[in-house]
Amino acid sequence: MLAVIPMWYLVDRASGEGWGAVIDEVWRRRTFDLVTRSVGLAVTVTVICVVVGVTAAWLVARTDLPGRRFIQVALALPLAIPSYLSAFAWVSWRPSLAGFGGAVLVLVATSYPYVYLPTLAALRRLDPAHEEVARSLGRRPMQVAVQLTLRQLRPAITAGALLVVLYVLSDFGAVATMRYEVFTWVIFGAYRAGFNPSRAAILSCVLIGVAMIVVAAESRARGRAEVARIGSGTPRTARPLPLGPGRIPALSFVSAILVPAVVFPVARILYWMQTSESELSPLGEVASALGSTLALSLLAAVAAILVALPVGILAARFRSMTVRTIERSTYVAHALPGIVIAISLVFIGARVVRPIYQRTPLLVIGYVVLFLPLAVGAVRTSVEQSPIRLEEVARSLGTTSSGVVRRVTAPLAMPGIAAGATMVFLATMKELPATLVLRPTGTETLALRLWNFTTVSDYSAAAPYALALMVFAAVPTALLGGALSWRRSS
Amino acid sequence: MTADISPSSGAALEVIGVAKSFGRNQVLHDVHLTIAEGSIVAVLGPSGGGKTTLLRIIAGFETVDDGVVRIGGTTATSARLVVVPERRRVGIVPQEGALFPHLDVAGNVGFGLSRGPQSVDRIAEVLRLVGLSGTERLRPTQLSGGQQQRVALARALAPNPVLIVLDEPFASLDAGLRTYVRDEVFDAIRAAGTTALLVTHDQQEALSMADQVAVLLGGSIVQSASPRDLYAEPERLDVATFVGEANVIDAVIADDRWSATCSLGEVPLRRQATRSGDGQVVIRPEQIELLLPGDAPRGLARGRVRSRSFFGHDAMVRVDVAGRIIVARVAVDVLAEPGTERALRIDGGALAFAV
Repeated sequence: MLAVIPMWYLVDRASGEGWGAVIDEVWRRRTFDLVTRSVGLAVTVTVICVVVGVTAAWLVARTDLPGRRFIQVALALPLAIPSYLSAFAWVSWRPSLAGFGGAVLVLVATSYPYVYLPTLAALRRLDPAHEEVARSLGRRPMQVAVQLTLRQLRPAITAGALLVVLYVLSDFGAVATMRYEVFTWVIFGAYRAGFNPSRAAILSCVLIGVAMIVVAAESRARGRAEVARIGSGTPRTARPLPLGPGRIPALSFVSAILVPAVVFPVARILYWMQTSESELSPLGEVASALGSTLALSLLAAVAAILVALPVGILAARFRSMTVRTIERSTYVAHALPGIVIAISLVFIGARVVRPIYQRTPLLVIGYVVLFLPLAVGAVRTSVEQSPIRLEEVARSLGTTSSGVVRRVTAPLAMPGIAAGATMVFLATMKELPATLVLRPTGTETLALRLWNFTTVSDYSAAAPYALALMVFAAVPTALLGGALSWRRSS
Repeated sequence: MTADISPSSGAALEVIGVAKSFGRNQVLHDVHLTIAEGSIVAVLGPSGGGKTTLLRIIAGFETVDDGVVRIGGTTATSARLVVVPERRRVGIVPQEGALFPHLDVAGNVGFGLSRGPQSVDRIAEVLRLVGLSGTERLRPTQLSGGQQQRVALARALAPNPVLIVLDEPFASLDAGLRTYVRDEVFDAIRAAGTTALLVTHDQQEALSMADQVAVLLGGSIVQSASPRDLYAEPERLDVATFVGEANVIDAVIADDRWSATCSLGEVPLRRQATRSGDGQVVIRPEQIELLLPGDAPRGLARGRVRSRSFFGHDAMVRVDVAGRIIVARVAVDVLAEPGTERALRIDGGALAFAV
């Protein structure tokens, strides 16, 4: 229901000027150009993210890369850096970077963890016995990696790639900063100008159409890949592949990711702090913005998990048409720019649920609609991995089906649920447009402050907020990255 | 322990005319099975023969197309009605044990009990029954495969089920451990006085553990009898060859249907054949005695030893009699070097099946 509300609003709004206007708008040359640009950007970024994310995950999980425990966590850190912050860091250093190249650089640097993390988790779960069998049948290590491991990782990789595509399609901060004209920027402009809301709504509908095609393509690519283990015993930990002289290029590869994605933005912020000409913002203001950011993020994480549990469990256990539609609709909503969701919730809020309009509940609902797929995906994957046999045993011991969810399914899926909650928490901390529109009057978050200062190029005033955001987002991110290593020992 | 069974019935489980298809594939048809209260019954059948489907129907995880399942005298499944698994009081012990990994031993065993001081006592009681007292606080990963299987049994026994069903519970254990765990598990079931249904493809397991063995072949129960009767008096040729090893030899059944003539000569029949004329006789390997040609009375069939496999307590010898291999089970001290000639004497009667 939540996921469908924005679409209802959009269709209503788009058809406001008659269907003739809709068709004219869709068939305009400019709309076609926008589709090409958005899709081109999404495809470029996703392809690079898949290559970077999968290679990095494989190096960390399966080779003797020096310092791989630290690298494993460090590679997840870009999740803590908002795309617009990374974009500001680059543009303020070299304004000439603006454009397609800069947008690709920033979007890859901030969104490759969406591929890296699920791939790493899947690699940890794979039974190395399969690879050993392939080796014993005469395959060389690289052949095994390409022919067997990559194939078994396909569901994880495509799921991650889907998140990247949808993220790129809906990202606003980075493309706006890089002045690369894609859908979101134009939609935002149309709303801001306020004179042509139906044009923005029509463009949003086109964007939803693109997202639907992507989601359908992903579910086809995922196919019916069965990665279940047959037989008894727990999988052993894979023996790391010795890199030998290959460790120099491997380490250079990792540095080539970490420097632009993590080191550079952090260095820029520290530089802004140091060269601050104006007074640093008072500590009290930073602390209060931090407090409301953490509180809102926590609320959003809890609410998203509560909604995601039933959807994720249904999606994992029943592959009926209805369930699939529900699951996919949550993904499509994810592709909508935050601003579209926010405005459609304003519309609903002002008409239907007036009491919570411009209050915290409506803002939290907005976050849930935006970030539900993160939570649903995490819950679904972890439920799929807990054997259905355990649920049957619980039933035979006299537990009702809702009792089984509470006493067996949910506790077993706990690592996945925690990971999903952490991802929603992080995404909410960084979220900008929906917060801008839906926040209760007077509420300031770190992201809002940051945005206000950077849009007027007051980087040094923005620096403390950027630092607070990154430090506090880095903690859950590191936990998320680190969690994948203890999962194998438990 | 099973006080709420209606006294009129006396059967813990009745399966009457059950049929089940998956799409076009008919897995079970006209299955009949009755288990008396307190007894242990094995359903023996080849892999993929519908055993697990039958078990899942009894436990309430599958529906039926036709037929009725009555548990403790009440109808639990019919084509129109399915009682949900949690209200059937059928405990299951799955193949891999399937202990809840997030709970310790006490949490697993007490899963089906309502919380309270009685549950602590009951957990200790059933753990003692399976020989694992004092393991309450251990995690499933700290247990060996055999211990996990016994905890799974304790978990199924704890809520006093009307019936427990075991799905190939020892298949994943190694051979040495299997016999030991099997004995422990069935001792515990007998001590608890619980009715049990064991599903297995292992004929030794079925014959040694159950009071009654039901053979599931081609989707229905073709014979249900005590282990001894099943082995000695199989009603059909496929049952005879599935339960234990057998030499199946073409034969002509005499007109009085009490003897048959085959390549080993004339053999008496233990049971009158249904028809005379062309048929086959079944002779168990242990019924064949190998004699040195010099010691043998006249008229016995002779053959040349082809190979010999040594099993420790006995040995199997394959003898070529007129181009057909006959298998004999002999004591280890019987000399039967490959290449030597032996005479074959048949102990006791054979079974004949008309074709």
